[in-house]
Amino acid sequence: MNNLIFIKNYAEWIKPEWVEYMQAERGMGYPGDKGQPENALEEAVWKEQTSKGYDMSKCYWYVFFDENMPFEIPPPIKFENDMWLFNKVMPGDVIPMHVDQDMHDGVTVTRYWMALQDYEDGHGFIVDGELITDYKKGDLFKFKDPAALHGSFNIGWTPRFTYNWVVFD
Amino acid sequence: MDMIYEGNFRHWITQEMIDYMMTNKGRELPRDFGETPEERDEGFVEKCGENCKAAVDEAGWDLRNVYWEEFTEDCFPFEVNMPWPKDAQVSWWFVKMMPGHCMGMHMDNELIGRPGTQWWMGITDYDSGHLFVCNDEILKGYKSGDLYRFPNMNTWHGSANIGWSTRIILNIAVYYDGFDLVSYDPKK
Repeated sequence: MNNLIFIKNYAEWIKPEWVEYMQAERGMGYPGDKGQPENALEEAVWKEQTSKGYDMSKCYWYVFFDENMPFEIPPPIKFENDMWLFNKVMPGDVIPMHVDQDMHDGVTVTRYWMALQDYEDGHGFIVDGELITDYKKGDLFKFKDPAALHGSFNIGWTPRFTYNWVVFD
Repeated sequence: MDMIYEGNFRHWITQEMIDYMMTNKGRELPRDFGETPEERDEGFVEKCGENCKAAVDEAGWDLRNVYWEEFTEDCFPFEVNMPWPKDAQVSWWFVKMMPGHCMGMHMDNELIGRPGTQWWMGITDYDSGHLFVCNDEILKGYKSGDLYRFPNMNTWHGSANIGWSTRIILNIAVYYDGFDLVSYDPKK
C-alpha cells in the first residue's frame, strides 16, 4: 500500500453488536437525509457535485455516529480531540471521490481508517488512485496524506462497514 | 491486472458516436429490462445468468434502479465497423456510467463457456474515480481507444464511477476461437 500506513490490528475492539445494529438499522443517508448543506464550504461542495451529475437528494451511502448509535464507543486509542463515524456502503452504493473538509489552519489532522470486516471482492476503497485490498477486519491504517483524494464503492454482495476516525492536534 | 493491452484503436470510433452517447441516454439498466418485476427479473437473468440474479437478490441490489446505461445495435444510430469477418458472430455493447453509477462484479453471461475472445475499450479517457475492477486491481491511465483483451471469457469484473465525469467504455466479444481482432485484415 502506497497511501496508507498500517498501525495495528484492533479486531478485538470491534463489538459484534455494533455491526449487527448497523446491519439492522438504516443509518443516516448521505447526502439525501441531510436535506441541505450545513455551511458555505459544504454548499460549494454540493453545488460542485450536482454540476457533475450527482443527485444530492439521493442517499448514496449511510452513516452512523455518536447520535445514532446506542452504544458507548471509545476510540481504539485515547486522544483529547477526535471525531469518528462508521460508514455503511450497501451493494450498489458509492461514496464519491472527495477530500474531507475538516482541515483548518493551525490544526494538524491525522486521518485513520479501519475495516470492520476482511476485504471482499467488490468492496472498493480508493486513495489517491490506489485500490486498497489487502486488509483484515480490525486493521487500522493512517492516511499518509490527510488531504488525499479518496472514495468508496460496493460492487460486491455484502454490506461494507468501515470506521473513519480523525484526530485533531 | 490480467487485462492485456493491445494498442490504441481510437480510429474505430467516430467523434460523432461519442458525442451521441454523451448527449443521449442509453438503455437504463437494470430498470429498463422491463416494466414489471417479472420482466426485469427475466431480462436480468438473460443478461447476467441465474446464479448472478440469485446473488444480486440476496445482496439487496434493487433492479428498479439505474446502475448503468447501455448502447447496443437496437438503440445506436451508427454502424459499428470493426475488423471482424463478415460472417463472424460478434457482440458489442457500449456502457455509459454517470457519476454515482456502478456495476456489480460479474461474468458476462452470454460469453461464459463459449469459444472466442472478449475485449474492452476505453471510449472516454481515464479520469479519477472511473473504476474498472478485475482481479483486485483497477485499470488506470488509459486513453480513449485503448484496447485490452480479457484473459478469458470467464473473467470476473465490475466497475464504478465515483468521479466527476461521464465514463463510457466498449465491450466486444468475437465468437471465433483464437481470433485476433488486432491483426485481422478484412481485405485479405
